[in-house]
Amino acid sequence: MEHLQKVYQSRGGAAHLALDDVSFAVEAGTFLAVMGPSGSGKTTLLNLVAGLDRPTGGSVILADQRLDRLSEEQLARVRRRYLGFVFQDFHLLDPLTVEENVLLPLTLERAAREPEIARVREVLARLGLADKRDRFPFELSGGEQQRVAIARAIVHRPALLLADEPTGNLDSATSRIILETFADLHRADGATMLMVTHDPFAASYAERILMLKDGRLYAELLRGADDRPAFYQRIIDALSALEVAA
Amino acid sequence: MSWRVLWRRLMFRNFRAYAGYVLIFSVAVTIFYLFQTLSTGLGSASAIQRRDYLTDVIGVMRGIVFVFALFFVAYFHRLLLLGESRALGLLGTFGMSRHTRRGLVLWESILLGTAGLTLGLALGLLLEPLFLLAAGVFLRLPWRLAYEFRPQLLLLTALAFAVLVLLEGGISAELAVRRWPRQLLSASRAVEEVRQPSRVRAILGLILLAAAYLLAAVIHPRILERYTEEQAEVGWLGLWLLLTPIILLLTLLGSYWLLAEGLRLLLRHRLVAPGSRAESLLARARLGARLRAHAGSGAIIAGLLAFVVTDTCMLIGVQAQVLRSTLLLNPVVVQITHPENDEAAIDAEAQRIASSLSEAGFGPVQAVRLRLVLGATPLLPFDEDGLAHFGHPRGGWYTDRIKGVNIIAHSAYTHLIGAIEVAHPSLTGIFPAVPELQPGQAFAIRTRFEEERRGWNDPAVQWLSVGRTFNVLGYDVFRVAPEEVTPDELARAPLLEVTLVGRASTAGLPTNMAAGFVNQTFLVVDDATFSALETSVREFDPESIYSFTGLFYPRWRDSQAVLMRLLPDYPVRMTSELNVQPLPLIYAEQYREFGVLLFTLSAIALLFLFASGAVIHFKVSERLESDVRQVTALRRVGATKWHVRGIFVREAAVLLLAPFLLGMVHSAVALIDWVSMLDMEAVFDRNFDIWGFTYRTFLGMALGIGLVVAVYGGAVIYRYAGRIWDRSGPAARGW
Repeated sequence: MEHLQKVYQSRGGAAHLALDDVSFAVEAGTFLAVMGPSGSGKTTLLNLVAGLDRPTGGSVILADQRLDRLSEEQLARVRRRYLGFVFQDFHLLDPLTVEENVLLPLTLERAAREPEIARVREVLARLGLADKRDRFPFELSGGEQQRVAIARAIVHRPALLLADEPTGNLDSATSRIILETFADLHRADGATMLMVTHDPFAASYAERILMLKDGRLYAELLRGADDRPAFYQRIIDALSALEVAA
Repeated sequence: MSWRVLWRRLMFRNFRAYAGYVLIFSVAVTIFYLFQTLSTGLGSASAIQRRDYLTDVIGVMRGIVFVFALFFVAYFHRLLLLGESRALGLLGTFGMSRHTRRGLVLWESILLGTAGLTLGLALGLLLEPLFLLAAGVFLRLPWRLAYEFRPQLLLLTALAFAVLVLLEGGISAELAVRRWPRQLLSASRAVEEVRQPSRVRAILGLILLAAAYLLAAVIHPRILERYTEEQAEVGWLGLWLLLTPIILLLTLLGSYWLLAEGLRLLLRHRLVAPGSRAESLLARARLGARLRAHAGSGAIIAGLLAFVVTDTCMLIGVQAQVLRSTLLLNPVVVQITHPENDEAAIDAEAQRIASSLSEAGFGPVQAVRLRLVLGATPLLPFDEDGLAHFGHPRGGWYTDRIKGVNIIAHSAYTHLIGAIEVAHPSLTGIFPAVPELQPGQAFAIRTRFEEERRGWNDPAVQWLSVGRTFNVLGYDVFRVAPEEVTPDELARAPLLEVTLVGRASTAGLPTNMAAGFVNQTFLVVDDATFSALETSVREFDPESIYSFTGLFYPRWRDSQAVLMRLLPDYPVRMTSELNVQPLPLIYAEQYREFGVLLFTLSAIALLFLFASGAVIHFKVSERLESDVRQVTALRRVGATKWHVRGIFVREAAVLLLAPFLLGMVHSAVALIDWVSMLDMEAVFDRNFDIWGFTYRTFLGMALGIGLVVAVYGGAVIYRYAGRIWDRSGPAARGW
């Protein structure tokens, strides 16, 4: 991300600067969290990274391509091939079974055959959902639904996994399971992840944290050699210090 | 497995919503196809049988049905797409290209359209014989509408709807892909923003409704009162027509603001009331949001319900009046003429007809001797100046040059009204009493005439001034078209001078059914004058008295020929010597005049009602996911199934009953408007209490529809609440 800027025009013509000169890089295999209070520009940033919105200034480079220069068809291809999405409220398609929901991203590239179906089953098994594959989303608990959403996000081996408040709708026990799943994916597969959250506990699972405030990057924390509880404490301290400074 | 297969599975498992759309589509196709067949059937029958406005009305109806079909397909397709917005947004987010999404929406639209079209045409073909039979009976057609396989109609219907599907599918697809996936996603995940109710809009809504009601109940009918055909250029009719959409617009906007703002204000006030139970609080809180979301459709449903109830009340009222006026006001109008004036033959035939009618269920029937000679009264002498006006569009036959009147002998008139009053005591006093007349004296009677409106000041009747002397022309104005009368012929016609000694009006039609349509005036003359005129007319043109005089038929010029064709279908066979105007014919003609309207408006009303039900169905099901989430949260905090059902039932009660009650108020005001206009038009028999009849019909309708709404709404919501409860179970148990 290079000097990203996003300005929204209100109906009355007033301009709102949602992101202002934000630059950072996400190395392959990094688990990055973006934190910030409401209205700080987290979701705007996520939309720009995903190519779901176009920046007013600056650029997003993904897989050697400047997203702001791509046509909508090309952006769609980028999302299809390189990105995976996990949403706060899961967004599973109710009429499809668990297996069909997970299969969906694969079918956008080409019709699914045996290897693709085997891949779906493998991912479901890995996330502990092997026995749920013929269930419908409404038959699952919230935690299970989010795990299905994660399976759907990683099934096509995306270069970057984007998660928007993935534990926002879950209780703490289920949140922990979901975050452990992310951490496991990161450790075992070297998945690159960008997670937007306002929850310090969730952010403590990342290895690097960017803090946004009023559309600008104002702090960055690296986990380094700290274990998760220690990193969590550092995040709390950093947030407190910033609160005091504000 | 491709995404198309997955999408098809998604459609199949969401069968209810898609089947609902297909069903609506097929109903639209079926109705359109059936009206096509009816219109075509009438068209071909008219070519050999008769032409009347029935064909034109059904033709217009075909257009209206197509407009409705357009509305159905577009509106419900958009609702369907709204339900799919999350899935489409997800596909876009996951990388499905715009091109593919556009194709998907179009493909789906074509698939569903094809299913709907096939089903609709199949239903149409299946129902066509029954529909044509019902239409024939309903419209009292004198010929049978034959069922005939018409591939060109199938093709035309298929083509019209195929174009519709492609257009609607194309536009919807373009609209769907123009939105960014992010927007589609955020549309379904955004926290519902419920704006605070606006006191200003609520008051404005009340003011608009009050203005609409005032216009409809008071001003609208008064404007029509100012209208006369002679003053058409003043534009009162235009103003009246202009006012109608204004009233509709004010009603819709007022209803919307009343539902969206007024009711919400009331709820907000009640929300903080002490002593409320938890489910009441929740129900009111949810209602606050729902009322705003449903206010648009609520206002439309209120309007549609009002239309259905008003329309039905009007039509039932009109039908009741048609029956009444036919069977009561014209109890003995069976006219028989004989070239030789053979009284015995006429009496025998009259008796035969009377017993036939009684056997056919028309009664009571009593034969009364009545002689009629048609006459025409020239206001001006038949000089060159007067005759020159024949060719002038507004100066010819029926304006101030020559007035067509019927002439009846005093004894026949007295005998006739006496017989009517004996047979129907309720009509006593409806016909004016005519004093004894001296030779050369005449008494004018106007029928279907409202004195309070324009009265005798109407320019059309100013020539009937008491004391005036004028010539009566012995010529049958109904027999031939004015254009066919040569000035020479008219100049040779016998004239008889009469002096008008009195005049009166009546809502009844004692002598001649044609009086209501063609000629609203008849003259009672003393028996000697009548006899002199009859003799002179016979000498002048013996054929004139053979003609039919009382055809209740809008195109009087065609009436004779039409009756000639129709008469063989009736129990009394017409001979060369006896001409008969049977009561069943009059009734059939009258019924058909209103039957077309009844049929047309009822079909529209049914469409409206069907559309209302479909709107409710789609509106309920589109909230499914959000409701599951809310109920899940409620279960976590301890709500039981009964709490949840209570919340939904309360909500539905307000959401369904508010538009229903509003619709009934609209309808009541519309009926006041209608009855006021009828009073002015004097269309109705004075003895017929149209308001009393209408309000009873209205109450019956309101209760009936209220019951349907309550049962339908209750059943839908009860099932829906159960479904939501079941679906929220696993999520609630998961934590």
